[in-house]
Amino acid sequence: MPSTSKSKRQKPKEQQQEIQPTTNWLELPSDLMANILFRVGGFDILENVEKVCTAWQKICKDPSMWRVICIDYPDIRLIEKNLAMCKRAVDRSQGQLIDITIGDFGIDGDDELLLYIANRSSQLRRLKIKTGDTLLCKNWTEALKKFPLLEELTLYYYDISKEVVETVGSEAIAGNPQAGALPLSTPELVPKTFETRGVSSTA
Amino acid sequence: MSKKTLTLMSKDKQLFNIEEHLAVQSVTIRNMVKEDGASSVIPLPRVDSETLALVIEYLNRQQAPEEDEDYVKKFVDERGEIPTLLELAQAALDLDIKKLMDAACMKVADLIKDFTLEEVREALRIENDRTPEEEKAIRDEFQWAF
Repeated sequence: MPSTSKSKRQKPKEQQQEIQPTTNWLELPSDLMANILFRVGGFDILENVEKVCTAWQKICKDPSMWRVICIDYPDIRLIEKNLAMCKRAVDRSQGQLIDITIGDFGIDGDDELLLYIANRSSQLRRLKIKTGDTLLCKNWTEALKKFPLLEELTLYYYDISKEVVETVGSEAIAGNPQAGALPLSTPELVPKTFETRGVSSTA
Repeated sequence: MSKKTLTLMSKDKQLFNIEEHLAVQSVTIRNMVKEDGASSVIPLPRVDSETLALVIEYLNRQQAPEEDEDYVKKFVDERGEIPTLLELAQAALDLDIKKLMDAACMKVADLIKDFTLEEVREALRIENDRTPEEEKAIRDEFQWAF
């Protein structure tokens, strides 16, 4: 319950001391703290949580915290800020990024971000994009070439047709010289590889 | 097969009995049992009795496997106080009960997500250990926050 903070503050002193007299939560094993902070999510880590104290900041700067990134709800009024945060998250991974979910940053933002990720994340295995405009990105081909380990591309799109999915698939094939070795390459794998989710008016 | 019982001892020296086949959901206990049969009392020096009682309650659950995910989520939801959840998470870490640990960590994460900086510090009794200069440096680094 979010009431923890406020209601507790109001309690009389003796009751407050009863709850946890001596525990210093910073003495928790750092693995456990990292487990918790990781679950807070990239957005809130950068925005808030890592500023709590230096010990937390140290945990939050560890690249292993940023192998999986999910920043998928950018506030439309704050695209620039969210874009900057997303880039910061990618920077933090120091090339160890394996799984990223990003939201709709608008056509230019998606384009820019995709390339930004591509240039820094050769280990990437899963890319999930929740957007309507991504398919128009100029940089798809170029970006996909830079993910030699990519296993899964998921497009969360409101209304996506099989043709469009296949177009992205063939771009991926055309763009990747090692296409034969990638699951993206074989047409029969396309429906499996390119999942589409979300509200669909036509499906 | 007769039901063998194990005895666990909390850091405040309270004893708890639990059937062995339930206790071995804890990987730590399972390994102990494998090694020496764990016939004597198993001490848990970092787990207080209140928390151990919760862990035992969890281990004793009678859920069908397919309901287990929901159960553990509800179990931690009902203990929504951060100190309790942190104790529980630490006990689950020591005992290596992954599902319980992850659920407790998730719950804490969900709670602190919506807190302000000061609320997080207060809820977890963390002192801000930065000087005003360092605070300013961080603010400059994260300009977007304003």
